[in-house]
Amino acid sequence: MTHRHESAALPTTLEDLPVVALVGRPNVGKSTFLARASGSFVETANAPGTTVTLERRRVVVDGQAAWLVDLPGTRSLGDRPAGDDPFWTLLAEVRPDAILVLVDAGDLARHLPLVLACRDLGMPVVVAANLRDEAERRGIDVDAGRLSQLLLAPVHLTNGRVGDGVRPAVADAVRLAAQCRAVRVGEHAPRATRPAAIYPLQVELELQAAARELIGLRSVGAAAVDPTGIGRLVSEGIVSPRGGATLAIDGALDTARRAIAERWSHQVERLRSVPTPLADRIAALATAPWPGLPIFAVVALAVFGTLVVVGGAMSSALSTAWSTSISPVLTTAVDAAVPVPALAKALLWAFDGGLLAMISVGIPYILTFYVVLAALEDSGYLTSAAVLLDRVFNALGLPGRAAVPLLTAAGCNVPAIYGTRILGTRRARVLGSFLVTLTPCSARTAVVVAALAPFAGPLVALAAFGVALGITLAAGFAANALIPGAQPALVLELSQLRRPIARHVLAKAWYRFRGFLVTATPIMLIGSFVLGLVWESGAWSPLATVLTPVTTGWLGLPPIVGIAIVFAFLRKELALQLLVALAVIEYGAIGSNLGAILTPAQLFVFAIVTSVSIPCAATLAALVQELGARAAAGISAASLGLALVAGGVIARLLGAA
Amino acid sequence: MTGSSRSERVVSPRRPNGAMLALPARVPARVTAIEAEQATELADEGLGVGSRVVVLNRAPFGGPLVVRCGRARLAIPRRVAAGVSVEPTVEPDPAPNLDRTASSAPEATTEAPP
Repeated sequence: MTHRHESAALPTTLEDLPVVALVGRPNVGKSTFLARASGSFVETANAPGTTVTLERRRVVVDGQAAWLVDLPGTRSLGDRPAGDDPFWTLLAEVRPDAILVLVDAGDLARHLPLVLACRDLGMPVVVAANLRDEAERRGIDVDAGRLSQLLLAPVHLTNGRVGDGVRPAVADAVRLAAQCRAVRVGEHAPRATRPAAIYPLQVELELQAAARELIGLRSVGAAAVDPTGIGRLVSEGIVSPRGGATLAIDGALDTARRAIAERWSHQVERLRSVPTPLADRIAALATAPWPGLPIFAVVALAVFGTLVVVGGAMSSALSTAWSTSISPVLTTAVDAAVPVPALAKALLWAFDGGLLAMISVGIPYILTFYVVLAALEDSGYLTSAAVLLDRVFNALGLPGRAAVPLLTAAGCNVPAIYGTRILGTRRARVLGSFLVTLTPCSARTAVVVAALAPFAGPLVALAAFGVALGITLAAGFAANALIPGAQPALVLELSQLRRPIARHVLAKAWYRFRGFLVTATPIMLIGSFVLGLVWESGAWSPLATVLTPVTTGWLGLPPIVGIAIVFAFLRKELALQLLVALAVIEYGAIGSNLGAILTPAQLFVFAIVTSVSIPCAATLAALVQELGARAAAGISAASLGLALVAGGVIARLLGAA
Repeated sequence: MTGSSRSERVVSPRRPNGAMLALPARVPARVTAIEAEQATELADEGLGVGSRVVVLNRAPFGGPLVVRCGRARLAIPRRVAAGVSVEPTVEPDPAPNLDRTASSAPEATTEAPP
């Protein structure tokens, strides 16, 4: 889940410095490693596929500056972690002078093939055997010196989570990159990097043939005869001819590399007998139906319990503080500064009401939720949950890891839309985003609870969530059936469970919250201002008349309720306050008691329609940004249609219309 | 959970060479063939012909098989597991790198993660 802001923040014209590419399998800790190496935070999760955009950091080691570029986790150079292009095209775009490969010190046999593939490209490679603490806990000690001899490359044992060995590893990579860059710009005589022939003779011969072919392409120089683009990399000097050849016959090398990796890992590992770590024992249980499902239920309840208790307490404390100390000052100031009373009131809608909403919903509920989510991610439990629920999400056309954005959506839909990036295919992203918009966020949850619990009882409020969940599932099934294509069956590596590190959790939560603030605050302010203008000018009254056929005719609700629903587009959590205010205008003082003007059935219809209907303005903005205007319009239309149909049907079932 | 303490290894498989999908939990097996369609993806996860695997459990609702392969735990959808042929082995539980060569450290013992 990476926000767009950071990729936009990448400098477009880069300082001409040596480039070190950070490469590794998913979940080996690259982002944490980068944070340690550069001293600032990158969003990470103990789940595969956190790094979706490229993160570039400037590092200075021993007076030498260099770019350190974090690439998405990849299982091989031919893997497609970012969608359509194989990983090596991403790597080539970065134009690295050296590659820093992160491997899991506790599972070298699986990780070394990627090191061999990088080394085959003909550029300097430095290996960081990361997660050494976990390896040691499992009784695995790695002989870095021996591995370095075998690989003909520097090997460092590192623990990115606390920073052990990170600086020396980066220093080595930067030094080699600087040397390589100097060769490229002609400061020094070129030095041939000729890796030892480690593959079986047959494979080596194949490699030589492929390399000759690529050199031939270079002399022809035509794109038509170079469909893979490997020839271009060779002619531009990004990879050596032999390196290009290893890309061209990547599949044939795979088996050979795995055999070498297996052999070498045996040579460098020293195993001790240790008891199975507790975390591993829990991890083994977490994916089985028993006790996996009860564990999941407990975790889910703990998440929402924390939200309700901690979020609720913070929310009331903050809104009290705001209305006693800040609100009066703001009112006085705006009234004094703006001579037009209607405009002053509209401005107060924005700065008093709008900011209060950000403070009383954003900080208590969304920030708390992000902290809880970050802790879950850091612990590695989310991949277990994804496996447990994989089939449920498959039925909706989504992979199991859709659990992450959908859980996020219960806090706020905006970050959840960005979070659908981890779903891989565009189809899954569209389906996932649709379900995200149908998931009641904290603001909508508050509206449903406040509209139903006091007037119809808490059980009815619970029933409304049940109905909303049913609508969401039905819509998900239908959308999956209607949109052509299918969810591919994916093999997923399960994370190991770890104790979350408070620093990481808080930093990540804050990083995401900042992203949310940047997106949502302007929309909240402008939305509230527009709302204020329409309200203070009385322009809502004609609108209510226009909407009457739908509001009263189809949904069986008084006309003013239609206004509340329409304006909830700007700010969902205002739906109820608006409704009360409108009711007071329409019916007088009795209107402040919603139970007196609306029947429980009508309130139920109102709650469902508000909960399901078109996403709020901030969510719509995120949808457009991430999926394009067409998909955003389609999703909004679908949820509006769904809300109206569901509302009308429920109104008839309950006898409200 | 060390390999030597396992009693399941005497289980005599009914199907000597069947799909991984049908492999009972905790029965060590060796991969004998993989259908081409799934081969690349599984190879990327380090699972190829000759790999030793143990099915740890099956996720509910017809979800994926959780399989230990080397030191990793992989979630393999049933659809994919149906295309992987395995042969149960009577060798001990394939703890990581059991097939280490004589050149490896003599004091090395095998320790299986769960």
